Amino acid sequence: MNSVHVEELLAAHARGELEGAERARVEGHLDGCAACRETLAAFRGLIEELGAAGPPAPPIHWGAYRAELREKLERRTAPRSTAWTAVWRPAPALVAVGLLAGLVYVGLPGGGRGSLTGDRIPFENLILASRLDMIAKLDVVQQLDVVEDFDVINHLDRLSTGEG
Amino acid sequence: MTRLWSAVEQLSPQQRAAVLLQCKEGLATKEIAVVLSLSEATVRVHLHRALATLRKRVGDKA
Repeated sequence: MNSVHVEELLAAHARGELEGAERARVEGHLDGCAACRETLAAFRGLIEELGAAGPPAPPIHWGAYRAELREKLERRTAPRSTAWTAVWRPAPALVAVGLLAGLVYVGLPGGGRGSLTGDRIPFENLILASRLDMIAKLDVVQQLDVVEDFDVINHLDRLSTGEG
Repeated sequence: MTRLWSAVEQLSPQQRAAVLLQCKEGLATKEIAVVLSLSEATVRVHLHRALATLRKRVGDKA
């Protein structure tokens, strides 16, 4: 935390949120810095006024907020996409073709292995078909860190339409 | 609407969200970080920059 400039801690200090070493560091700095004392007093005044009863607060523009996050995500994933999606670009189409071929093969009379008979054939087809949507967006999925962006993957429909 | 709220409207979406969650909803920095899916350090920077911008735009006495 030592790399953080004391000035950036003033807003948190104005709210009394700092503890221990951070608080001591800020207070030590304030003793010898009139400019930061003025900033702290100004921040306290602003926080008090913003929290006071007054006109209704403007709404938080969640749409704009999400757009900002999406833009950030795209910026972060863009460099990786040029590196290896160029190599793997045919992959989604190839996988889709392979799955479709599998569907046709399993669906043909007598197709597939002996174990895929009776009621299991439609069930297998259903599972394969349900994955086609994800494959259609594989180019997006490839650019995401699976754990960090799991939420994004779960809401791909919102990502593409800007809803949610 | 006062000059202060007009200035709040002009903040970036993340800064505005952080300010409103803190001042109107009474959330602590740690809670704002959870709501906005940001680190505490990032929320602190947003709040600091937001207050610095508001101070610049409306003066020390809003």
